[in-house]
Amino acid sequence: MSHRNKVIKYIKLVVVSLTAASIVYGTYVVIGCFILLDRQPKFVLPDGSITYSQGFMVQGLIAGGILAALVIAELLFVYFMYLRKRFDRKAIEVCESSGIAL
Amino acid sequence: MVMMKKLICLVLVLLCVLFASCASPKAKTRDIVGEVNASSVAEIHIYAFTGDGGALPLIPNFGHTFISIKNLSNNAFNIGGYELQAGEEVSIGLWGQKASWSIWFNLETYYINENIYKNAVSVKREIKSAEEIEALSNYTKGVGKWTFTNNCTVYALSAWNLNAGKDKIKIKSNTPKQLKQQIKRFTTYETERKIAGDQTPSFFKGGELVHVTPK
Repeated sequence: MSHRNKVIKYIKLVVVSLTAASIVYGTYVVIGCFILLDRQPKFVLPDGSITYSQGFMVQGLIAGGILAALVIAELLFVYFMYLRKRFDRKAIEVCESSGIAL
Repeated sequence: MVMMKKLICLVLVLLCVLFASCASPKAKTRDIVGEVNASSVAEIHIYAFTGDGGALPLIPNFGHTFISIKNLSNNAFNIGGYELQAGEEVSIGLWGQKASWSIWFNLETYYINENIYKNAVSVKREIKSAEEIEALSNYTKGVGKWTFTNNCTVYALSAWNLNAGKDKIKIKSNTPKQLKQQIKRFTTYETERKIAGDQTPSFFKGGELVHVTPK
């Protein structure tokens, strides 16, 4: 296997792992928020409405932030390690075919 | 190759030195200057709960910070609109509750009685005069809504630091975790302190104290 193919295989592995991690963590956060909501002590107001702490939403937001960071890391990885190199190669090809000296 | 190994060794040594210098020295203990005594009007406790027992792995739980005021005088006084009877104690905290993102009274008392605040730490100091009570009351009335930057720790710590003199607590970031470390420096800190009383949790809505009952 050529060096280039090895690199591409490695990149694909990382991208697939990050995608899987994002999906698993995202599902966990959604389920976790429901569990946290269920755990909140609830109180009844005189008008019959229910109140509970919404602090778990902040926790969910932060967990969502971690998830977003994971997805952004994945996208940046794909861009810098794969797409940019491909674009660079394409640009070189275009320049060479147009007779532009590089 | 030998040069490379030497360079790696040098970098490792430098990293060790850096970590050693960054390691925080063991925090010194503190004594409460304003100890509660017979002439004290009230006592104020500050609590820090860091979410022990209620967290889910990989989902952050910041915990909660709040205060409690115990009336040691023979007369009732007003604290943030709440009428505190002689001998009574009230917990006060800034909450993001569905019904009100503001000050709640006795909500933490309920949480403590339900053993939710595991490993919460607290420390107390005296409140010497009616003027100090008034300052605390006015501060509580004007604290506003809960936000990221005006959170439970900001309220509780500011309330504690009002007229605290040498018992002031300083933290770098307004989180219960930071506060817990500082509370534990006091020689008289307590763990899982109970608040006596069976008052139902309440909050102000349109100038009226609204009581809630556990579901």
